[in-house]
Amino acid sequence: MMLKRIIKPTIFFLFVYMRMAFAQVAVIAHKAVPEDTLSQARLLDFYSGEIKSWRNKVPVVVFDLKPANEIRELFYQLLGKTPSRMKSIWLKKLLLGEGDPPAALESEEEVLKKVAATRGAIGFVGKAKVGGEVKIIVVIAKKDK
Amino acid sequence: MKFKDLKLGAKLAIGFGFILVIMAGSNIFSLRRMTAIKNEIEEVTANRLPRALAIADLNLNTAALRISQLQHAFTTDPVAGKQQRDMMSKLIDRIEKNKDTYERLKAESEARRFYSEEEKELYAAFDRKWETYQDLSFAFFDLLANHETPQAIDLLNGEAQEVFDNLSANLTALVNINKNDSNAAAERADFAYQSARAITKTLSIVTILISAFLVAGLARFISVPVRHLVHAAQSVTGGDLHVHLKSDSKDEIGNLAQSFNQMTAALREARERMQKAQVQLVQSEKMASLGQLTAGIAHEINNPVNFVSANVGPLRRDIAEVFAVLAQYDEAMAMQQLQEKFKNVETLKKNLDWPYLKEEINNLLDGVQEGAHRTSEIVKGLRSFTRLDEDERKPADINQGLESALLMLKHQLKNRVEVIKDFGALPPVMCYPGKLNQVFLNLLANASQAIAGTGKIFIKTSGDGEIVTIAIKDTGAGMTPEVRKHIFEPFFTTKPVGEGTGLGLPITYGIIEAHDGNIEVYSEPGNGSEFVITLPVK
Repeated sequence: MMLKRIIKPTIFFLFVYMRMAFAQVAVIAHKAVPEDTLSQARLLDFYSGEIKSWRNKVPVVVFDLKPANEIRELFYQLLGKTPSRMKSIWLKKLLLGEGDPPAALESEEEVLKKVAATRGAIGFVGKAKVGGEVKIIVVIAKKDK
Repeated sequence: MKFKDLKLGAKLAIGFGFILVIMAGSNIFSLRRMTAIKNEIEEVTANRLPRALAIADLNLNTAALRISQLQHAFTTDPVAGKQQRDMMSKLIDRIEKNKDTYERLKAESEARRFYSEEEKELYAAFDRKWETYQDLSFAFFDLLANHETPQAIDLLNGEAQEVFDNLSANLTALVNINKNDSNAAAERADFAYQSARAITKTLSIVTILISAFLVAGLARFISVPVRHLVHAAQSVTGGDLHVHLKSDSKDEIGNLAQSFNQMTAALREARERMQKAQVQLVQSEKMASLGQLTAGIAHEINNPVNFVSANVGPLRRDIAEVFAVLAQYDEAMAMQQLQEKFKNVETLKKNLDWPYLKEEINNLLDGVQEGAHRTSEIVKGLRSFTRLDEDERKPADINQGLESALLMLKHQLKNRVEVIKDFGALPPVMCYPGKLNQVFLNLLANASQAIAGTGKIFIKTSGDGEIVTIAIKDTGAGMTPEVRKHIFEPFFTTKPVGEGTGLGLPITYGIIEAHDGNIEVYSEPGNGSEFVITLPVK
């Protein structure tokens, strides 16, 4: 009983720590975007298509990852909306002709490449994958609920 | 501490406290049950039913969305298409609202721990499928936008249909879960109600029974002892001092009964002492008056007897002289000179039976002398009884006195009566030793005479610094209570006339009294007699 009490939180803590170490999400943007950081609310505005261009009039290009991805789940946790909720928003926008949903890419490498190559692009990848080719806007560590 | 040792107040408090605890327990149990029932009902009405409704609505809205998508695929008119798109957008709003409602209720239920793991998993599965369906919807609208209508319809009827069926099945399962859970909650509430009812009923009955027992107990612990006390008091009033109350409890009533018992015991003892004193008083009064009477009689008899005693001697001497003279006459008669004259005398002597006359005269004189002797003995005895000779007291060994008395009776006792002595170590007693020896001789002789054939005499002495006790017990004939009452009275005797003077025991009594001692007799016909003498050592 006593042992369980000690072991359980310890394992849980180690688990969380390792996820923190290996599963930090970096929100990245093209090097030329005028912002250095974004709040959670602003990020949500970007990802739900409410903000369509940066301050320098360059259109915003949002990249998503395909489902069943740990990095993606972490990112949506930060946004505070589940993927299905976000999809509803985009489905409505599509039906009302207000915009297309962000392109969902297969891998983080692809996101990295696209963001580096596209002006006004914003996306998210595992922090470990990020090199000097993009700008890191926010780093998200996995939060306990 | 036992229950019966408690005070009355404590007994009552325990009894009523017990009832109170049971009633309080019953009420608390019922209240808790009621709270449980209320929670179940609240959960069902405020949460489960609205949740099931939200899910059912969600099912309808997703189905409507799918149908709208199909219709949209077949619509070519741009205006109708626009309307359909608006419609679908509204359906998505509704779906989102349904999900909002459901998730809010879910959070409430989770906080109350009423949200099952199964439902949680089902809802998560639904949400994943809903996302997949949305992805497929994007693809569908893309195909429509690229005018690939047949492919779009294929997608919707193929892959999307499958996902939708799964999704719909999940929603139906969710509704069922809520329905089942509602039923289970209703059953739980019903069980809670039934058990609360049963427990309350049972405890009510138990409480009533205990109350009844308590009342009976109170009657037992209070009214019954009080009734006994009343009866006992009435008996005492009626003169019966031998009533004894049982007092095994230590409460106030037990104390009362104990005090009552002590009171009657004290009364009884006082009454016995009084009766004894009365008997003793009567006895000593009787003995005193008898003493005075016999002293008077002794004195009155003594004088005339003295005449007789004093006169017999000279009379005997005188008659002897007369006989001597007569003898001379006889000699003279033998000389045959006064034959004729003496012939008459001879004839007279013959007629009178002269030798017999002489013998008789002597016998008569003997008789007179014996009578006078005996009378003077009696008088002496009476004097002993009434008044002791005034010699001084001196310390003496009582055991030794007993031994010398036994020695004197040796020839009477030997081979017939076995004497069993149990002499204790006695202090010297200040007394008139000769008188005490007379007492012992008297009692031992009586004991010996009471034994018809063979038997035993037990002599036991014991003493402390103040009192010496001598007990003489025989295995003889014993006495009737009537005889026992009179043995200390002068001239009372059970022996044949001439054998006992009836003065032995009265003298004994007088001697013991003169020593400030006490003599008691215990006897029953056939069981022998025991005389117990107590003498102060002084």
